Amino acid sequence: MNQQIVDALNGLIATELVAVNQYFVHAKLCEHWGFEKMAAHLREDSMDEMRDIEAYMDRVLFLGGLPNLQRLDAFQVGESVVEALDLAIALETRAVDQLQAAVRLTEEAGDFGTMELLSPKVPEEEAQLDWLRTQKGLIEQLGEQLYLSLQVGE
Amino acid sequence: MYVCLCRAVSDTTIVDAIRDGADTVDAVGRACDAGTNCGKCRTTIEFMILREQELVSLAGREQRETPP
Repeated sequence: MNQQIVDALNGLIATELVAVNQYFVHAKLCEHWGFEKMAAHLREDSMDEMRDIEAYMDRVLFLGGLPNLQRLDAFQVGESVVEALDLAIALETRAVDQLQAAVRLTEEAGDFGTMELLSPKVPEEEAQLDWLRTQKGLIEQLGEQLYLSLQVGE
Repeated sequence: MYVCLCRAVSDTTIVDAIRDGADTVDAVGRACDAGTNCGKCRTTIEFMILREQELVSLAGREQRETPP
């Protein structure tokens, strides 16, 4: 068993666990504030991150390690949609860096199975980051109030 | 944004406590309850104290260096 790769996968699981929880709490807050569209998006993101965790867990088990779901790092909770977006951008930026480092590690170790699992996640996380940055761009161009008015309703 | 989720304390409340003289994580906890339960946010609070101290020293330096 390559412990370094198991540790890297568990590190990714830890980051995804933060994402699952952070996005879910923001989804419920947005719903509470009446921004249903943003809430639906964040809720789906949270579920996607959970599916990633499942794939990483399966891989850790295949490699002979133990998936660690106990580690939940500290995170912050926004008091507005803009703060929630800013926190998501910071988290996704970190996740992409961590994922790329893990892909490099698997390549160096010749673990192409894990590499095949992880490398498609890089553009997926980047697309998520791109969407978040686009929302910030829209807020800048439309103004916060107009942007928020587009998030109201089913 | 909320920094301490256990006690629901936001960054603005913590910064106010620091500006009112809380210069350690424990002092911030005594002032506004932040970081007094699970302790996961204590590193963030420590960072916030350092940042405030840095801002104060920068402001002081600027004042000294600006000619009247």
